[in-house]
Amino acid sequence: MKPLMYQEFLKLRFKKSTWISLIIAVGMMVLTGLTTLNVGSSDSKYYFSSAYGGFQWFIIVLIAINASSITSEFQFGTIKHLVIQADSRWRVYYIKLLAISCYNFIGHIIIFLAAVLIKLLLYPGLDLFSHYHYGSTVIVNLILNGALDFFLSYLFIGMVTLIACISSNSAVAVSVGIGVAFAGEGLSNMLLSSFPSIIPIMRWNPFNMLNFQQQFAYPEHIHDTHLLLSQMGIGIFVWSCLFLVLGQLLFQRRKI
Amino acid sequence: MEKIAELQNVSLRKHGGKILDDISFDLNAGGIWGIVGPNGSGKTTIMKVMLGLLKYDKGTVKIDNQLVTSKKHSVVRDQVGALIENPSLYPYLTGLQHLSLYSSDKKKISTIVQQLKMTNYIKLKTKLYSLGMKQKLGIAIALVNCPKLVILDEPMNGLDPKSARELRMLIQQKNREGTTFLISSHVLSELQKIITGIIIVNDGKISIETTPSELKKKVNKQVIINTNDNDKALKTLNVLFPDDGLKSLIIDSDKSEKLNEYLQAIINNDIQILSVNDSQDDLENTMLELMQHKSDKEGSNL
Repeated sequence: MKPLMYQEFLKLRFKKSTWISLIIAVGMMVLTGLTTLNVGSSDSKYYFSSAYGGFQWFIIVLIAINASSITSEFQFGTIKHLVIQADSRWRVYYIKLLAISCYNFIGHIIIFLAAVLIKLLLYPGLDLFSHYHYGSTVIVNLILNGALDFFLSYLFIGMVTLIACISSNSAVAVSVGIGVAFAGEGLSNMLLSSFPSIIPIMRWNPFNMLNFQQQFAYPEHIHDTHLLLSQMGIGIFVWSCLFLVLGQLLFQRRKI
Repeated sequence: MEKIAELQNVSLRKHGGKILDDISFDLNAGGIWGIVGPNGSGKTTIMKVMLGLLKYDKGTVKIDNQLVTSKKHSVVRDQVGALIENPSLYPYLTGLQHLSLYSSDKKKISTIVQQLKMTNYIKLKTKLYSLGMKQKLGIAIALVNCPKLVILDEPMNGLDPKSARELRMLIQQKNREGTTFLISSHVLSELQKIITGIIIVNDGKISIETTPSELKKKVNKQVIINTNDNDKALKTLNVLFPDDGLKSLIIDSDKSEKLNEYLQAIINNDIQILSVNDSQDDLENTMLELMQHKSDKEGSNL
């Protein structure tokens, strides 16, 4: 019997959608690169350091792969094999999360490399070592953005995993995850501006944490989020852990 | 005799109702055990409990002398192969990829593929498989690591007669090599051809644990006489044996000693006997009859 971790990698490797969706994300980055060829120097730095939207596209891919990795085991009944092989269900759960984390890491590396490749092919005039935000070079800004996105992605992983453990349908988890990815920040900003009296509590809502990267790029965003960047980092960590632990409890109680 | 599995007073409650009620039985190593009972009687639940998939409230479950619980069942991983409910397969993987997922020994994989005659489609994705092909792959996964105990839940589902026969032969071959089987099936005629022991489950309780031949002895044996004129034969018997109160040509076991007299009387009246059959020549009838007797008995005790 092969180890569970190896099995998870094998499943990810053989599942075509794992790689096709990543190729589509890279394709969308190329498209963004092509449509922004004529922008000014500052904007071209912005597009490069945000990986031509690649990190946002990858979050959508990650939401879909993460949701289906949990729900498909119950849908296909293969959870029985996994539970027999592992002595406890929580082990199955965290091995799955570990496999998703590895995929998340590889995905971010691919997006980073694709952004550099697009720059080399479409923006030969852009100097990777020219200065941009925080007194750092453009390439360092891209790395920082990638690292922050990787950190923030755990909030999505936690949220989607929790929904996938509640619902037996991956479509529900994917829809809610994508909905949060697109509308979460707006919803939080709306709540904070509509109910100023409860800002001290409401500013800790999980959707507000989605402004993390935005605030990193534009520090003046603090007037909307009412949180320091470091506070948002703590919020992301706490909410991610909470969602993952709740997900684990539900995963352990689900009927096989 | 060595015991491969032992269940002692296992009970399981859910939503206030008893799913398993004080279940106890042993499986001797080297046997082919059939587990039968009506839908919802608890067959699959027993199998899931034995695999550590379900938490039970009371009792002990041991496989190969090691305790099995939902939190501790390494013995199941190492010594048991199973097919529970439907074959659990990933549609985006081929049959071969499934077998590689669960076994690292390529030699064992090719052996089981050949034994189950799956060579033609083993490299196709399972989303293209028919029900029978999926069933065979599920059985192959259960057998591929040559476990000591194999638990098969309805393995004949979806198999054509030829495949069912091949599966029976494979089970018997593996059994001769030392594998113990616990098989549930609704196709009891298929089951009775191979089993050496039987466990009857009804309403979450073990009704009987015995051998098929012993089981037959426990129920009323009936003999069915078929003639070229059954009405005339019955009238003749009622005239000659008025005290026996025969209502049909199905003769109960308590009158079986008079069978020769009945047949002689029919022949003497120029009626041709077409056949004389044992009414319970299959396990299905025996089991159903036995369960009927049991529920009648329980009903009269109320």
